[in-house]
Amino acid sequence: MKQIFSKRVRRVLIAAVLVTIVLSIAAGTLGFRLPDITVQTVLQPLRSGAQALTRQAEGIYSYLFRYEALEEQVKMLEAENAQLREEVRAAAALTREVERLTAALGLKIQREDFVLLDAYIIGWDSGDWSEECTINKGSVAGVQLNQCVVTANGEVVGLVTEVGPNYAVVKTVLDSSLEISATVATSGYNGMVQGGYATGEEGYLRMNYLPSDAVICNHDQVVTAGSTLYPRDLVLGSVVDAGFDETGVAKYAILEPAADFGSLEQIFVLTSYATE
Amino acid sequence: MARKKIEFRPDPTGFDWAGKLLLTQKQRRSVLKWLLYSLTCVAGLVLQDSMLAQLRLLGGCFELAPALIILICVLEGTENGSVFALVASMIYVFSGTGQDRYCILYLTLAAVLAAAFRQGYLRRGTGSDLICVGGAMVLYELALFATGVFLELTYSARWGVFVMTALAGTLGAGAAYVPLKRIGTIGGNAWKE
Repeated sequence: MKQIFSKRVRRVLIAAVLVTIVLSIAAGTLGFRLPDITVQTVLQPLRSGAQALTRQAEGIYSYLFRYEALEEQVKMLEAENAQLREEVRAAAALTREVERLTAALGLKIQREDFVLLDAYIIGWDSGDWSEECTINKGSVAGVQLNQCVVTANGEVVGLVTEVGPNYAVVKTVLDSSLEISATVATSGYNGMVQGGYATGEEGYLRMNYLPSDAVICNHDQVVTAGSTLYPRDLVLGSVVDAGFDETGVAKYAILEPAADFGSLEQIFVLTSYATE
Repeated sequence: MARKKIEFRPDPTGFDWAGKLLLTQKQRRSVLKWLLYSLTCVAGLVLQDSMLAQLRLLGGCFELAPALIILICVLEGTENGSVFALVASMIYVFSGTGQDRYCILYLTLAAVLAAAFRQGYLRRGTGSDLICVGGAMVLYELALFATGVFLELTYSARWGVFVMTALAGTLGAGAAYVPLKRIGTIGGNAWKE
């Protein structure tokens, strides 16, 4: 082995140690991320192209191999659509009633204050514990750090944690390091929602610090409680399980995320909203 | 009677960018080889980010780029491969795909160890190259796992997922083995063993 680890190889290994230490300190203490921004800016068009190709390939695959399944699905959706139309007609009457009552109570119609910026996901982090994606809009388009990201239906996707000129990195709600103050919509119980990876519930969310006497039901919707980062009433997920935590003095609930991360393509960055 | 083949070739008269760089033919081929290696790694990185990121093999992710970097280091040997592994692992981390800065050290070390082991103890061949890549990937993933456990980013019961990630990456490297070996032959074999 003495011959194999030549002077040059030893120098490279020492350089690797030094580079790791220096870059860790520079990124951790000084926030030096210029190399990251440069490399990711250069890679952004390639990632966008690859993602577009993937979507095209998926489309062709679906057309070729899932045609019968799609036909079945269309029939099912048509039946569902007819039923939904019926329900919409009934709901329209109720909506008018709600509008009248809302106006009577002097409440504001929510979410008119949202300024949304649409973006496409161009890459997913393939690491084990981190759940991040890269989007094709960056600081040039108006994306800033710590902006909330949602789907077209107002379901929370995550938070912008890194911004480059033409890209941004979004940490999704599935990431255990992200904590969101939340409320069970039906009962009003408050708790903290975070990704379930660290506690073994991969792909799910975990709502902690619920009162020990809380009555949690399956399919209860959980929404954001409102904070400086997240506006109120954005859907996080719905309850699929609940129990007492390790301390025995608080309950937790397992949530199925509202956003379908498996098929997510387009997302919306909430660039501005009125804080209460 | 067969005519003797004339080996004389006149000097090129047109404008030649590579000639302007004052590089010898061997150096030009070497540049081309490393350029193609780099492009393969970039392609692997983009593929990992866009198409393979959502795929799982028994829970393991397809970490293609690290496996390609290790494979290139094994093919090129410790002398040149170690420098490539260091530079490529830096790009890998800066691209945001690598977990954190410590991946630079882990990946370079794993690549150098794999290349050194192959050179020192095994004969050159597809099987021995891929065994070394697989071993280095397991080493790299377990180092990541240990760091994750230490930083409380993951938990000890998930070690199997990291091993599967290493195997998935090695499979990817196996798929790229033939083209990378072909690239390695540009300019002749560089290693002496």
